[in-house]
Amino acid sequence: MSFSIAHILFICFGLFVIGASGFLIRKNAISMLICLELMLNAVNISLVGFGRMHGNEGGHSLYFLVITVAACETAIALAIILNLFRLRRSIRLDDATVLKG
Amino acid sequence: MNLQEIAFYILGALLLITGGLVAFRPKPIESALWLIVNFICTSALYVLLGAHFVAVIQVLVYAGAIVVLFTFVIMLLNLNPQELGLTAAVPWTSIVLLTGTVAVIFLCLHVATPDLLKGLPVLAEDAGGWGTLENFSKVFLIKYVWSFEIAGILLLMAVLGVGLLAHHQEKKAV
Repeated sequence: MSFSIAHILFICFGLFVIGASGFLIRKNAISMLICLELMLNAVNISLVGFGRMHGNEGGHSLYFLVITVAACETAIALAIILNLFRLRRSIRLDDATVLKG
Repeated sequence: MNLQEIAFYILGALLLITGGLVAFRPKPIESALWLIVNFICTSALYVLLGAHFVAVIQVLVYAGAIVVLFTFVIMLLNLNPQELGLTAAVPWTSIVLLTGTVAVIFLCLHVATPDLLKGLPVLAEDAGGWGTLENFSKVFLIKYVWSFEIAGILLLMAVLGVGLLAHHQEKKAV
């Protein structure tokens, strides 16, 4: 295998940028959440790559913490989106102005 | 260029293409379905790196649980294009600005460190016992046991929070 950690970091960076740009550009809440998952996934790739570079399993442990956080965040955010839809009949975040006062 | 390298480049290209499709397809259901392809490609990349257990967990948890939750909510809401905001104009200026910014970042990196890709360590030929379930469990459940406990508490809090939100929603509907 002759690829270095830089190749993996390049893919990680590319995916993260795609996710971040999607997060900034998209309007509806579910698409933004999906882009958030993409960003977390990109970070996971870099964690496992660094673990491979150092030859220990610390990266895997962090990977498990990250997917736990991702699962919790998805569940709670989708519950909030359902509540928002009941309240406003829309999941566009431009319409979610309840906290504006 | 050996077989592993070719597989790596194909996987990398697939990851970036499906990532772009996930982020920029207009309908959320298409995004969610492309997300499955993206996660399976990620899993293949983990297999290539030698992290087999992580690859299995990636497919099980991400493609199996999280994406199903997404598709469930998308189909439950059953939104029309008006509610999705598809009728609004696509902000081309922001896309161009963002692409330009990323290009400038790459250019700055290239100017600042021309040998960026050369100085970094090449991954070992053979992963050895790295990433197997046995070694991973030893490290995870002995050295990083607190991270395991914290993840458990986090999941418990998330279950409580989601239950609270769903209950509140039910009361309001009546």
